[in-house]
Amino acid sequence: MFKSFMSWLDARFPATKVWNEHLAEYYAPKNFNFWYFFGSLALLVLVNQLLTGIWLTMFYSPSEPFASVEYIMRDVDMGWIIRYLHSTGASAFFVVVYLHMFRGIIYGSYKKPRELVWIFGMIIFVLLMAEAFMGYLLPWGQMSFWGAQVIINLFGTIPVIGPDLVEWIRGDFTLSLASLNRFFALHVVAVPLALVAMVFLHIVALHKVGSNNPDGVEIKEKKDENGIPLDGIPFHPYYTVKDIVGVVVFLMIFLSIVFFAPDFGGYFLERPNFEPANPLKTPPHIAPVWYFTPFYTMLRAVPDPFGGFVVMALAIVILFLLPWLDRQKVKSIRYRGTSFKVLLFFFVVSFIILGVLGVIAVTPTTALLGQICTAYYFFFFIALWFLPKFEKTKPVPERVTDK
Amino acid sequence: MKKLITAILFLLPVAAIAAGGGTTYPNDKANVNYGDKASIQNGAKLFVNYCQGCHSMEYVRYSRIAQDLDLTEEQASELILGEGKLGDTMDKAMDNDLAEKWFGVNPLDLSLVARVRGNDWVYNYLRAFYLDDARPYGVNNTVFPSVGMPHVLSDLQGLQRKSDELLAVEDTIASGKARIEELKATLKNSEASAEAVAKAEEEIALIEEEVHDAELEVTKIAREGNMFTIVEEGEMTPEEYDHAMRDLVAFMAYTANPVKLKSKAIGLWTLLFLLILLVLAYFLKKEFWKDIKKK
Repeated sequence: MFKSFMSWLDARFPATKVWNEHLAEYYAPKNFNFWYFFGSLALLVLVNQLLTGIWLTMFYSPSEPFASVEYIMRDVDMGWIIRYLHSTGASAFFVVVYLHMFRGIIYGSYKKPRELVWIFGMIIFVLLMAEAFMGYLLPWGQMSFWGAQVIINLFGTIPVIGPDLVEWIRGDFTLSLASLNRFFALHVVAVPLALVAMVFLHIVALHKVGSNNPDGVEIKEKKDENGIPLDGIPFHPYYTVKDIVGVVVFLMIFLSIVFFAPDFGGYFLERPNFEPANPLKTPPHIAPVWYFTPFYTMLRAVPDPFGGFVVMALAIVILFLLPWLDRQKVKSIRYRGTSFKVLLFFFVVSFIILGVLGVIAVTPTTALLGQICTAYYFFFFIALWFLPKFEKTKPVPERVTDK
Repeated sequence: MKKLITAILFLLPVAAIAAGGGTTYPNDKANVNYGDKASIQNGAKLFVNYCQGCHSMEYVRYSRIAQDLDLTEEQASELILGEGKLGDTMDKAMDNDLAEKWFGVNPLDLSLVARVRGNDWVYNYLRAFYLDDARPYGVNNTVFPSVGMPHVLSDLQGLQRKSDELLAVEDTIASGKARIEELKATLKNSEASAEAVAKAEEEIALIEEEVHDAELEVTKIAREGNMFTIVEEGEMTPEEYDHAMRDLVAFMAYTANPVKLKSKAIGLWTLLFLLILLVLAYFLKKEFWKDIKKK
């Protein structure tokens, strides 16, 4: 019965073919470790955001934004769970994506032939930032309003076209419900569409070249008589059952936050955001949500606003160039030299410091520290270019190692 | 292990930073117990009697309170102001225009205030009114200086003034800061001799230390509960009043985030379910991966 249905379907749609190519006969290296959970987790969080987002849209009203969010939180059945899943999901998305990107850096997953996988991933990252930024305006609290005010005004620092550009983005002379309405449209339709499309391309590109692994060995170079990589195992069922374990552990952490601490001490949901937006009252402290803070510090590190804007933009642009800046042929950190490890260690440290500095008030000391860390952020990428000249790498094994 | 540390390091910025902001005194903990429904019920009664004349809770419905706090319909109807119905939101008694005329501003809606300011802040604020002739209603507040609100709870708390101890220390701080300003003006004066500058700098350092010590003293006075002296006794003893305010804050904390009463229980059941699922998922994975290890 099922068999005849499948043959009927396969004659009209490549169902079995797609299933095999991407799951049952997609050969992934058998030595994936902890860091390889975050790709599938990112997909999980994306689905969570899409589903909870659809349900929130059923009750949210852009003409009465603040009141409708409180309505969801209080009067809609299980509305609070849906809302907290969505708000916690936003932060979880960035946690997972930052770790996913870090994995790419330590194992050189962006290197030839996977440059496009990285580029598509970076586009997803930029879309995600846009999505998060526009979504944060929608509750129309004080931080929504003033955070958006600061970020939109950044575009005003662009010479000549700046002021007109800002007006065009806002759709009004001030940040108003007109701006919120267009952000709503972009947040629930345009950006999610683009995100889903890019995730699709990210996976198609990945499955064309095959996954990298913690050893940075190309498993396709050693195949058995059937053309199957010796170190490869079918993604399904092996990695599907493994990822389920990762998903459950992730859900335990994620849902603990949803049910016990959805504000996460004011870092996932900021306190001032429970006060309706008030254009006449500037909060004493405008801090972006934690996932933007490293870039926010870079913005503040430059005294000139437009200069800061450029530096911040370059910080993203330079990530796009990573596959070509890192010229070392050895992919994995396991076989790279100490110089790389030291360089990367301080990169992580400085990125974290940049993040911390973004939520606290500026003092002369923190300003200087922010400048140093910003400089180091860029130094890291430039140093990668020159590194192969000095780096003492270890020999890379022929096959993946069992660890 | 090394990888785990790297992973934790990555998550640190979220956890490691405390939000800044100036500290006000008193600075005691509200210690709201969300499980204590009697406390929240008492807080609801206090809110209706003392706050709702001027402050609304526009997102909070009487029916929801009745349901969450296990009130009978009769008990709930006692809470309802005027001709309101059980399904209504908690509107205030006062008219908006009159409010502006009387207080200069329309009193804040209190649905979410505990979430904006924090439970502790509200708790301290309610206990920090003191006599001050300079203010239109004769009272001021150390937690929210120059607040427009009169001390509506004075028949419960009585009236208090700043204690002599506190006044003395505040005087030291104020005069010290004034002297520093004066000396800084000397420093800016280009005609001042090098000797005078050195002397001024020395004095500034000295006074700054004094001010710093005095500020520490304020903390100490607040911690020991000696900030205020009762001038006129109220219906409650200070302990009873603190207790009542804790109940009131509990109610406001509840209205700010009503799901708090049940989210913990749901969360625990969810975790229990996931724990069982984790065991199953782990053994499923182990079973499948048996043949991989052998290769």
